[in-house]
Amino acid sequence: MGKDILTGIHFLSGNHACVEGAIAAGCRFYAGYPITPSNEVAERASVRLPQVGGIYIQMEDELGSMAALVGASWAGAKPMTATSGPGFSLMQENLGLAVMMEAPCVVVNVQRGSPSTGLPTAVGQADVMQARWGSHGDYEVIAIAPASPQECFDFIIKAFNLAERWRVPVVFLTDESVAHMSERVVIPPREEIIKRLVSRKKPSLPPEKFLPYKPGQDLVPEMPIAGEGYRFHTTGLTHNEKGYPDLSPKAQDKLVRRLVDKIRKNADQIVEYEEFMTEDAEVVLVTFGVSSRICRAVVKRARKAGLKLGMLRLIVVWPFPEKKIAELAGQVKALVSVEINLGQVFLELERIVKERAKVFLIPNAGGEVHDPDKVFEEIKQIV
Amino acid sequence: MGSKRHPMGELIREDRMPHIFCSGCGIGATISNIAEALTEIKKEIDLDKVAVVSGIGCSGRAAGYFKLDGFHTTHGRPIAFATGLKLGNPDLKVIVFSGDGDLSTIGGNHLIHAARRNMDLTVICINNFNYGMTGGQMGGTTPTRTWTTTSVYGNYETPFNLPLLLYACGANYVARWTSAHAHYIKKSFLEVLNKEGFCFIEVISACPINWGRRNKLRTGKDMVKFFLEHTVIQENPDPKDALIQMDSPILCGVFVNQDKPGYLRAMKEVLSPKLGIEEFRGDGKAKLPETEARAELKIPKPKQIEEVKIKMGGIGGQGIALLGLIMGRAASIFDGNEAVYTQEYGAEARGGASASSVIISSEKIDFPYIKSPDVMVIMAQGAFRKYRKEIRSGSTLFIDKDLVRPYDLPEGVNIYAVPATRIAEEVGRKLVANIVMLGFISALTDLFSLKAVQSALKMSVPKGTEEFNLKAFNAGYEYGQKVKRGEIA
Repeated sequence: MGKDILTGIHFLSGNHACVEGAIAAGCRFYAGYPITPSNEVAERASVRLPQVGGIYIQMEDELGSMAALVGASWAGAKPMTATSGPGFSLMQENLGLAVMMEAPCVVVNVQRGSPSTGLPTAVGQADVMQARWGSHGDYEVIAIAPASPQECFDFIIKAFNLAERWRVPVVFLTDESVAHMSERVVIPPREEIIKRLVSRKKPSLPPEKFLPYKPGQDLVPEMPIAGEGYRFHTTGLTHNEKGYPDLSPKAQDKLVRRLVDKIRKNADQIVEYEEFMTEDAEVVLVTFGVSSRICRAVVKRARKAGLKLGMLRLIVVWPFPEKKIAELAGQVKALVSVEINLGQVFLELERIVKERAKVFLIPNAGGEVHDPDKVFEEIKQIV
Repeated sequence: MGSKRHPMGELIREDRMPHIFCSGCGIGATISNIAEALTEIKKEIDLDKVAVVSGIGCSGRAAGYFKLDGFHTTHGRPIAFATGLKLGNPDLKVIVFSGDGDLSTIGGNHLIHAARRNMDLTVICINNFNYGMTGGQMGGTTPTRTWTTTSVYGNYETPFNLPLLLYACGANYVARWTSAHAHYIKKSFLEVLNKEGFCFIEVISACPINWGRRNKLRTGKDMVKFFLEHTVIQENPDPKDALIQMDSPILCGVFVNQDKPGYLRAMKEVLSPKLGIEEFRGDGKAKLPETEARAELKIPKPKQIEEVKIKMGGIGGQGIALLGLIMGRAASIFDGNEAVYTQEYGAEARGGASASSVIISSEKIDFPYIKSPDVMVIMAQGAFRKYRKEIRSGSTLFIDKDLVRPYDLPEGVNIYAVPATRIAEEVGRKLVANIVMLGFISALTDLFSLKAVQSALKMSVPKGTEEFNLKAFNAGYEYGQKVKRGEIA
């Protein structure tokens, strides 16, 4: 067992909590390249993983880090890396490979001010669209946004579970603010965590009958791992159920459609959000990550002032909670996107809400979180 | 018996034949050499534990032809991918089989770093001087004054001397052969399969269709003839002489064969004695010693406290961050309250003023930052200058009396002063001035209980210094008591 699950009450930063959550989830492989504001993840991983017989390797760049994650995933590891904007851009190449090969892994992206080098030490939330389609091609991944160190611990376990369950890379879309704040983190007893863990489906047939890319009812294939006698082949090329390259339009349609559908058609099982005072709300703030803390404060204040304000907080950002947004659009007068970018979740709201309600954006180019006083003033105008 | 199986059917995916390689190409031959070598020793090794990783390009297709666990990855990344695979499960023998453009040009960074780390991999690098799959463009290994589709006037760049590069990076084994040297390729491969560390075999390979025909070597036969006539095999050749030039012979042989610890052994040599763990692997199958689990899970009932915002400022080295951290731990772990602790980041904080903040409340804290502090703790004049404007009427200001001279403050600021640094020096070390300040604040506020702050202090300082830090804390606390009783102004 060793020191894998540190049951107890801690006071941890979001970045440190990510590592403890990952180890509790069974992560024993970390490959990464240092970048602010994610460094504390790497530093703690370099201390903690060897203590549990795991691997910490500091790669030469983020291209290699992400490639190493996919390799480790095929060795049977639950691998993780952490990065921020510039590094996340470099990881897109092999994040696409993980999508195509269906290799479970978790990529922590501590968002900072951007584009390019931007604001290395200050907050941003402008990688929402990149998290979805940062690599080339049609695909779907899962992205989860925590709002506190406790959620970094709890949700990264969720992230590993979803990666294993759906065989996709999961982007842990945190931000500089959540990464660097410290709060109480309660790590529950081992049995409680072990009960929560999900592992990839293993081959149910012997090697001679097994097809590595034949999907189950849920569109997810069973996953062999290297060294167990399956002698399978996997490739970034378009492939058939055998895993062999098949460059025909027919094979392309079958494969890409399945990769996309396995998330879209199962979205109900993946989507997760929190509703705060939405029952009778006339205006609902739609937000995620650290911005949800600011919105919660604003909602509380608005309620005291007699304004019927509520909040929908995206826990799973991708796939997007389309059904819930459509439902709210029929109930409320307006939806207001509050995010530290110039309108990314906002685009999704516009797409789904259409004319059924008004859609507003309270933007912020980054560098600091929204000022609750200013958000409250804008909300008063909207209401 | 008598069936029409491929002669190496056990190791080659017959259902993928015919392969994609052009007539006269050296890649298929090299794949055969490796397959033959593995067939020869199949009784000695477990083929289920052998994996092949390739990148993109003609040679990159190799992983698809071996009937082994095979990974056809992205352009330039097979070595990085293989690194993850090997460290995920060190029981695997991982062979990287890919081309010169893939491994040394787009993937050059991974190549040199894997060699530097002496990563436990066997790398077969097919060098055919060009990007064949995309139609014959030049790359980082194209010899000077040869022609490709993107060097139609003649290449004026200098190619990599791969044996010299790999020698310089520290690989355990570096050899070069040509695709006409089947015997040597097999021999080298068998030599390194059980060798630890980074083992690199360069195979200069015939590419008559895309490279040869633009360089007066139209057929595979021409190219093999050229290789046999233009290569020199030496014992212990010097890698400095291995640059490929069209007007001098291609130097072949084993350039490096040494036994430095491979990555996994080097890692164990450092980690095992420190951690008492014998095995490190990514798949979670390492055996670990049993240890007792911590199980303190009772969060104390919060004592009622209105939200208090505390900001601390000083200069680097005064332990301003630690001061905030101890307060956060005291409030949240030991008093059962909510607490958020943040530090001020930013380039301007380096070496200059540094700040940390703690918000304490019995309710959940939404907004994690401080716009207007209720309590300000200032340990240096520079920090006072920087944060003075945030000090408002009705708030409380704690200062190091010898280091901070307040000025231009609004009316109604409650000031408490302590010679924290001087007291720390009396206790024994200037370094603990922050802890003296903590004791002083504890005496004059009810932000946290005495027991909580002392427990938090003990868990936050280096082992063995707890008593000394408590002494500093008590000195500050006593000074605070005296101020509280009016014995000191």
